[in-house]
Amino acid sequence: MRKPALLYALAVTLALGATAPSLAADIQIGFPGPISGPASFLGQQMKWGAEQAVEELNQRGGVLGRKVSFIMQDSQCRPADAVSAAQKLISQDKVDVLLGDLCSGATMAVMPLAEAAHKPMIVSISTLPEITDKAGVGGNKWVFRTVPDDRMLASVIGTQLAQTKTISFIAEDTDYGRSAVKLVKARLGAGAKVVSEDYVKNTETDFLPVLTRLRSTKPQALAIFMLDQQGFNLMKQYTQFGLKMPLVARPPLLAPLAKSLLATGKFDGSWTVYPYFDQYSSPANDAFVKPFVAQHKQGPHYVAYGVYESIMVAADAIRRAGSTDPDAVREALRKTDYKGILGPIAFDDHNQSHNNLMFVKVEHGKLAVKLIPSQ
Amino acid sequence: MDVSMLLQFLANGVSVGLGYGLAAVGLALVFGILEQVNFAHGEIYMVGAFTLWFLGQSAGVPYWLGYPVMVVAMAAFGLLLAEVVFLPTLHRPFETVILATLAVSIILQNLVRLVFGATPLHIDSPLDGMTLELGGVLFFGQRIFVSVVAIVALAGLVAFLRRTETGRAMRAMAQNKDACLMVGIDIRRVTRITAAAGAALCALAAGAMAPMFDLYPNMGTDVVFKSFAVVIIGGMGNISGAMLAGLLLGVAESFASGMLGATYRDGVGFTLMIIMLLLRPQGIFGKSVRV
Repeated sequence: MRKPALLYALAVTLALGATAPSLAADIQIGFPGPISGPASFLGQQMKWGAEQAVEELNQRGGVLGRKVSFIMQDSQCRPADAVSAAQKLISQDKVDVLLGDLCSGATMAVMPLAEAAHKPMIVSISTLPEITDKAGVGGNKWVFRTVPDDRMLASVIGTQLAQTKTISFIAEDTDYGRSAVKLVKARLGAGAKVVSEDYVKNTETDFLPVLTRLRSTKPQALAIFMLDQQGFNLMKQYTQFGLKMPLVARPPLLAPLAKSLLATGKFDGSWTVYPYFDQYSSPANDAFVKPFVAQHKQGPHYVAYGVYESIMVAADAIRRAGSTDPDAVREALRKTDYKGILGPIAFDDHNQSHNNLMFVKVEHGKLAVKLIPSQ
Repeated sequence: MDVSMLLQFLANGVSVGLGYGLAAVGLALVFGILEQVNFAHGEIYMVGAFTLWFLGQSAGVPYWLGYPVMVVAMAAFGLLLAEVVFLPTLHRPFETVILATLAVSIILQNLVRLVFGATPLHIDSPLDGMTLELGGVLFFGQRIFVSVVAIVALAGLVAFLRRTETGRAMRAMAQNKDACLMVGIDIRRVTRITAAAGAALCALAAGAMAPMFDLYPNMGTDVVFKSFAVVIIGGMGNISGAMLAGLLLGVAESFASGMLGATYRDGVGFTLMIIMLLLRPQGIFGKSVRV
């Protein structure tokens, strides 16, 4: 029995010896995310976004002369798992900056940990408005958000819908879906009538009952709030029903799978507002997208963009702070004026950035993209 | 509420319900004959769908050829499952089988995630996107196909269980394993055939239904939950009961989510299931393999 124990001890010593120096030298960014579970295809994109950010930073000689690395811990997008992932990142891995999770629920669960541990945290993907309400002045000073929240998206969507008289909603039955519908409804014109509101569980694939009803009620527009994969199923079934009303709000028009559906011309007039779209052409975005596509044979999703930008913002703050001291980094983050891919990123009193948004409309079977300011 | 809308709800419900029935029949068969609960049922569905996708994408096999090839492959997979799980646990308590099949389901989910990745995939079928209109009611190509497959599969299974020697042996085993041994029925052989038939039925469902939805490693989870609801409503192990319960559930869901709102959809299935467990735990049509 002595020999294995000795070997084990030796292995541990070697492992520690091999990793300890590099751990001390690296600037570490950690985040929880769905490596497994239903949202894992987005987790993969998060990882790719982080890889690209870290690689670019290190090619430029790192930050403060130190190498930058990242650690992603599996959360399956569940609050409880996100908390244990973040606990490990904070206490064991001793990361310098924490990023939020994908799902808003999971991100919200991690926020108090960042506050208690005095760890700067950047929400890079989640869009629930409450995150902003809880951050910054009078709240959690350690949390920043680099992406627009649902309120900003909803107010742009509401403005676009000002002329619509009758509208139906289909949304996923989650915090995200329900609060988005509420926000848009609050911004509709005075004469507008909500014909129906349906909430479906986020694994629902069958929309026949709702579509059947819409065939009779014929609203002017159908507003959609759900994940791409689910929305795509809805779009497929929509075409079979021969419906004519445009899909508005957040239909997954940008999903690669939707391309052939859009080409049929059945979705002309449909539009969506996104915080990011990889096919928007500008020098800054091309510089981000090209290497990503070259490496992964697919374009970056919003989540990859979010993680990439947040790591860049973190690196920028650490550089200006001159150290990884948490208080210094937090103060530097507050004064951020970073030139992001879609425009400037700077934080308001609630540590929320007001990015430009992408307005994408289907015209003649193709997507037309323009940049619009958030309100 | 116009009539064409109500008829559309009914048509939707029937086609969706027959799909539920088809997906659940394999589960009912395995339970009825082996008295083993197969938690890997959804993953057989999932692996079948991915196999069909793989045949189409990588080998260029057209849907109509890929579908039967996949069903045969999944029957073989059922045989493997019998060797690895059902036979070793045949005389063990039911918890062992639940844990073993649960393990298989976790392994398969992660294996598929490893091989194919987690990005949703899509199978093209020549029928998908076809729409027929009859008297204001819409019928969809792929859904009609699912209904036909369900009815043919059920009729075939019932005929097999009634008319063939093997089918009779399977029903005998459902009634009394010990008596089977006494009259010389090889219960290991029956177990293998049952597992293969259960997997093949599940694969039939997967091949017919997968083109309507996306493929992803967790897709089996929803299928297995629906199938359990159907099997409990229809009577654990009752094959025709599973098909009728599927139909009932599909129609009930269609009307509930059409008229009350989509939120109520899953509530219908589980409410029916709870009522059934409270009032008539043996299911509408009673237990065991009555065909």
